[in-house]
Amino acid sequence: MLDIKNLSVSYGKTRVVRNLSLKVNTGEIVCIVGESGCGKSTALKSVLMLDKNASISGGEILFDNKDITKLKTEEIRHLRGSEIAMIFQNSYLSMNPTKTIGHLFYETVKVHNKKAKKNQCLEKAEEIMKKLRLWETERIFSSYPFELSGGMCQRIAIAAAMMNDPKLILADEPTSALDVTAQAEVIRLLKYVKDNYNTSMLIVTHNMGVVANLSDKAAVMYGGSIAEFGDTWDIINNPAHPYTKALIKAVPEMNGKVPEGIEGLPPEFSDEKGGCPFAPRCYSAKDICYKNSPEKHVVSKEHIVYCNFC
Amino acid sequence: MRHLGTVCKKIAISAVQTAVILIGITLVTFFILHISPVNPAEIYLMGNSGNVGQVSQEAIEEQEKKMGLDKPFIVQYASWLNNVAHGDLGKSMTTSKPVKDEIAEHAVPTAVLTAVSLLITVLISVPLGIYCAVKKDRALDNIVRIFSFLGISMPSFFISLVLLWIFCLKLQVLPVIAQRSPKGMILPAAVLIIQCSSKYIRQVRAVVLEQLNQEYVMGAAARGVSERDILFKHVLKNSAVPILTWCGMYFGIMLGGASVIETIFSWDGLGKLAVESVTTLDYYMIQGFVLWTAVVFLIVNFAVDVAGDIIDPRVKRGRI
Ligand SMILES: Nc1ncnc2c1ncn2[C@@H]1O[C@H](COP(=O)(O)OP(=O)(O)O)[C@@H](O)[C@H]1O
Ligand SMILES: [Mg+2]
Repeated sequence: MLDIKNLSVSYGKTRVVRNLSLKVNTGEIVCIVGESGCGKSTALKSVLMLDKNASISGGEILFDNKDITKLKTEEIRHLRGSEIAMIFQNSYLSMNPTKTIGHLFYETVKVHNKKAKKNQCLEKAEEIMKKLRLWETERIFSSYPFELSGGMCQRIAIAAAMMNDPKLILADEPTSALDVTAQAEVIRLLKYVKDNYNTSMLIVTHNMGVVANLSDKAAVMYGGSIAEFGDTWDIINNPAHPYTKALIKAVPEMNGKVPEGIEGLPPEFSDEKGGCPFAPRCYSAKDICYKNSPEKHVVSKEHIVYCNFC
Repeated sequence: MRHLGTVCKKIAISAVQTAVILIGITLVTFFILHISPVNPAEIYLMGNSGNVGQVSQEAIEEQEKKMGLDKPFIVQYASWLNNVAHGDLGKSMTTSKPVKDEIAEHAVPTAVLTAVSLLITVLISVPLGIYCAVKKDRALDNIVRIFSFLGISMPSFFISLVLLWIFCLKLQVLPVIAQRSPKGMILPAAVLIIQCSSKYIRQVRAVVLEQLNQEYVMGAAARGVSERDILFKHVLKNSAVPILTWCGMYFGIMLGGASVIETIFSWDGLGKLAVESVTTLDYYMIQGFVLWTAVVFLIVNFAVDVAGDIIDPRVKRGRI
């Protein structure tokens, strides 16, 4: 359903996403993990061509076999919020502070269907919200985003994303700004949506709990490219890439031990020299890693890794 | 009306504030006039006889008594305030006409100039400011930026003289002095428009740009809202309060009378009246003028406040 092939995205001359390839099948949840600044948000936003400063400098984004990068503005607009919905990290900031939540639901439908009536939209919103266990719908409809908690806004954003029955939901760190209980609730809602609507999802997250609980597949990103991609349990139990191994070791546990970090700094995007982006921080890096781009290795049927020594 | 309660509360609060501010402002002006070394009685007599140095000391003292200037400062102020409370602003010391009538008479040309200048300023600045924000750093934005900086950095007397020189002396298409006629209004209005638009365009651009960079803009785009709707239904609505506030400010400034411009172009409005009153140290005239300016600003402020309440729910619900 979503097939990203060799995608490169640049801000000006800086190539931030580099030859990224990623596939999301129908009804599947794929999580992207990786350090801050490795290009996750940029990649996610480029699926809907949302960032005006970013330009696609190569590759294609196939959605139902149409290349999104070649669509006209109005065609892309029709995908946004209807076939592909997006949930942001801070939902309450991504809602206009001077419009009520009711208006948000109404507008989300109205922009794709001029004939939509407000009360019908709100009825539908109410139905979705009830399913997502959001009560007090009347009060919520007449509230402004700043009158609700961050967790509430995030749950509302999920409900709003469902208004046009999208095939794919993109979520950029949907739990990062929330406290632990609100995180659990958001994870539960996303799982509910997937199980009941068969919606595909591409979720960027820092939270290994989200990856483990929610995703079918996980993509580990480093320096703008995919380092490893495969079944979530396969990745967690048999990580192949040195970066994935380090990342999993860095997850804090509830046993008082301080987790190991990864030495060194994330890569700069300014240089365009070849080689593996992780090589400077990799324990097992050899000369060849600095020279040649990492090769694709198939670990198992649904598990690939980009590394010269795996 | 849903906002009636808030509006009533606002009116009550601002009525008290207004009284305090008015007393403060007039007290300060009165005091400044009081400590100034020039004697208004002397000026009054000199103006009447037309001769400098020929006014006798006795005559001055007699005149001081007539004007009430021999009394202590606070008594003078208190009696002025008492009169004002009864609707009497006193008489002009130079023309002997009631201050109220003088102000009312001179307010007409200033109001006409204000209405025309403000209307054109808004019609130029708001669309251009919005356009420059949306098409940031494109050709027109850069051109407008240059003109804005020029307009902001040139003092009004300089712009006035340049326009006078071009249109009255070189091209000779406009009369140098044409009091209270539409032709005579062109140049003073032009100077006001140039001055205010230069600032206003930049202010509109800045606030729209700030809104365009908010996260909700991308949020709306991600839901499929078109760029046009994002601009007109979201961004501009959220920019309306500051844009309106500045508009009110320019209205206040213009209605207070642009002294320099009115004097240069002999536009017989409040600004010119104010300059004349200061040169003759016309106590009650100056006090009346200060009072007028203060009242205009207080009313404008209040109107803008109430408008903001109605437009922005964050204000309405007491969040800002
Ligand atoms: N609007 C922008 N203009 C220029 N550079 C940007 C912009 N947004 C992000 N970047 C840069 O792109 C890189 C990747 O950013 P991002 O995709 O936000 O990373 P992530 O979401 O993985 O933390 C960072 O180095 C960041 O500085
Ligand atoms: Mg990010």
